[in-house]
Amino acid sequence: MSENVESSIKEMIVERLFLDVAPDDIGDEDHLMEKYDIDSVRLFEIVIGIEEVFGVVIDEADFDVEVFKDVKSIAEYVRTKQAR
Amino acid sequence: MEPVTITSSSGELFGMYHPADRDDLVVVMCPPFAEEKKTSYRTFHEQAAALAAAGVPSLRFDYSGTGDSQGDFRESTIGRWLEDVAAASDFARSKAKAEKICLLGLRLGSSIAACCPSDRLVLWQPLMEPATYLRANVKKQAMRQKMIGGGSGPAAGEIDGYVVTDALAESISMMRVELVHSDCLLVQVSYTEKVLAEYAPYREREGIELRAVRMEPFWSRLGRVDAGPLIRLTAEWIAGGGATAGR
Repeated sequence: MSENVESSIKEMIVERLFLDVAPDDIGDEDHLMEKYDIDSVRLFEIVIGIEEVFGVVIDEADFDVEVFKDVKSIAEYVRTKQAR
Repeated sequence: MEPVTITSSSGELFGMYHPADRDDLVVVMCPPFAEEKKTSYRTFHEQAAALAAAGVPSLRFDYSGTGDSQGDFRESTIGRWLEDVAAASDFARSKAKAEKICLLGLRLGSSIAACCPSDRLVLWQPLMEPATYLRANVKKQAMRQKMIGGGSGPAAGEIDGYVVTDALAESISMMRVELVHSDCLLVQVSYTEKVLAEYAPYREREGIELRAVRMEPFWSRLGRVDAGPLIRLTAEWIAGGGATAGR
């Protein structure tokens, strides 16, 4: 897994959602749900992936779907969580 | 295939029997729960067809209080579903005039199967800690509600529209899955072929063959997922004699 947070997120998403794209082809600001047809079930797999890859806990009370709109905002969220 | 009625302590269970030539072994399939059961329906059907083609009869059925079986779901507990599996096993053994039972389960159905007596056992992505499954579902439901917006959200203890009573939740939480079996195929179905931590203890356990299949989790996909590799692996293992073959 890449040391860069954005790259790690992209690799995780491609691997776990079986996307037929290369991780680097995902733009940092690509709208994940619209561009990659990510529904609530797949979004939950991303949540689990973030928790496992980065060792953070995402509580349901803390969950904001806007955070998961693109890789850039997920990365910011992860960095904030890790800094706490 | 033939629709059948199985008598269990909780009432009549609906089942579908897939006949085949062999009379030494019959497979009883233990489905997962709620939405996962619906989305895996096709895969179980295809598995039954593959087994029949390999000469092995099988039985699919609904737990009491679910699907087309009798019973009030609000009275469901793991204990009751274990009794259902026992009744289904007795029925299948009699129907196929078979000596041995092979239980095949997915997710929570795997955990249930692992807690039942069987001659052979096939577990697809079993929940080794079912209590975690409950917590994950609560989280998933809350997140889904936030994602789709509106409404007051799912009721506490609700999974995919099923109201999980305290008794059912407690019985799931109390489950302890520790695999001890002399003839078991444990299949990890996930995004990676690397063995996940929860299954790592079974890498070299006597009587347990651990295999990892990289494929999408068909139990959580609304669209069609090709489960061919998993179905072929399972049919070959069951028809070929399993972990005891060649001993």
